[in-house]
Amino acid sequence: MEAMSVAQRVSAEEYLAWDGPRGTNLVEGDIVMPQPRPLHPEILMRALHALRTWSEAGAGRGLVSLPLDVGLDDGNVYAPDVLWYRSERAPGYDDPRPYQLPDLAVEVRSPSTWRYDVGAKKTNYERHGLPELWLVDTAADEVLIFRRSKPAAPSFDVSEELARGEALTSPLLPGFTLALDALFA
Amino acid sequence: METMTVAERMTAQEFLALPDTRWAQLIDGELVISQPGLLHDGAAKEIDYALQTWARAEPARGRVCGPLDVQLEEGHVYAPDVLWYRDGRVPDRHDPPPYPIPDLAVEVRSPSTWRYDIGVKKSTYERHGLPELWLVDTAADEVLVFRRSKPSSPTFDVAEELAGSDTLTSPLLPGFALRLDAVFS
Repeated sequence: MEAMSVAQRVSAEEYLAWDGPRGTNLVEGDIVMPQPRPLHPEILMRALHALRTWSEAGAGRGLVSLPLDVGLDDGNVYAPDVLWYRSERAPGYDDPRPYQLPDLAVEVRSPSTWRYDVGAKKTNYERHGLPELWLVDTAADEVLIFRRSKPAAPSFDVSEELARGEALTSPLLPGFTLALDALFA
Repeated sequence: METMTVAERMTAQEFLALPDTRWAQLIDGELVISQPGLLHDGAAKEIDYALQTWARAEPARGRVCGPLDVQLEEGHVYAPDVLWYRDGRVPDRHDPPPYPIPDLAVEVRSPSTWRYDIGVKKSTYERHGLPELWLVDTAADEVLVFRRSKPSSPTFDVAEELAGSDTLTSPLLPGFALRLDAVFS
């Protein structure tokens, strides 16, 4: 088994005070620990690199980060694989955990935690107003994008499913483009 | 490409009046047509066969069917690849479509419609009280199971992710067991 849920229900406060390994998530009160396959960090770094390159190429292009604890509610504290905040919402260096929802969250598929990415995490991201979610499906070499037709849309009412040969872009990131052939090289 | 979204919006009534809705669904008011390939067909038939075998082995095990048109709300008429109604909820065989929401719906991944299966269709099934949903991921050779901890749970609060030589079972289907390597062989 490549991931485990610790059979112990904790609150967001207890979770944030817990001195466990990073990269975990609190999903509906359960601590979930992914143990990525070797491919996962590689693809994660490619996505991170593409976003950072874009973000540093112009002023006011926000903050790209490795996993940070993002608090949604008392049972849910997630650590998206990559986060992006637009400039005016980026947390400061001294801000305490947990951080606010980013403008874009990227989750890369790991065996046995994908059910959370597709299930409870996606549902809660949607309910708490995340503007855009990228699910990077390493089994299918696809990226599934969920976004909102307008900022106030109550659900992810726009979806895309990108495969090799296609390029990932986003209305949130003018000028950003990532070829899926490069992501899944 | 095995799937297309026909750039046409229609109501459920207009959809159901089409001369042929095979391989067609109405998702959020949009007509989506998919032409399943062999990968999809193989997994769907294995699951259908296993469920049929289980259902016929003893009385009062309901009815396995599909794909059939199931209308959840205006703008949403789905055709799960396999449906199961428990005994007592089986529609009369003379009933015309659309049929009521089943007790179990099985959706098998086809390229480019998976975004609907894990996205708006899953959310809509969840909201309308579907007891259990199996998402069969033919790219990863996995089955994602979403169910409720009790019948009145407002969400799919139980998730499983099965792979390899795991066996698919369900509290809804006493005695049913299907090894995943049979589904994905």
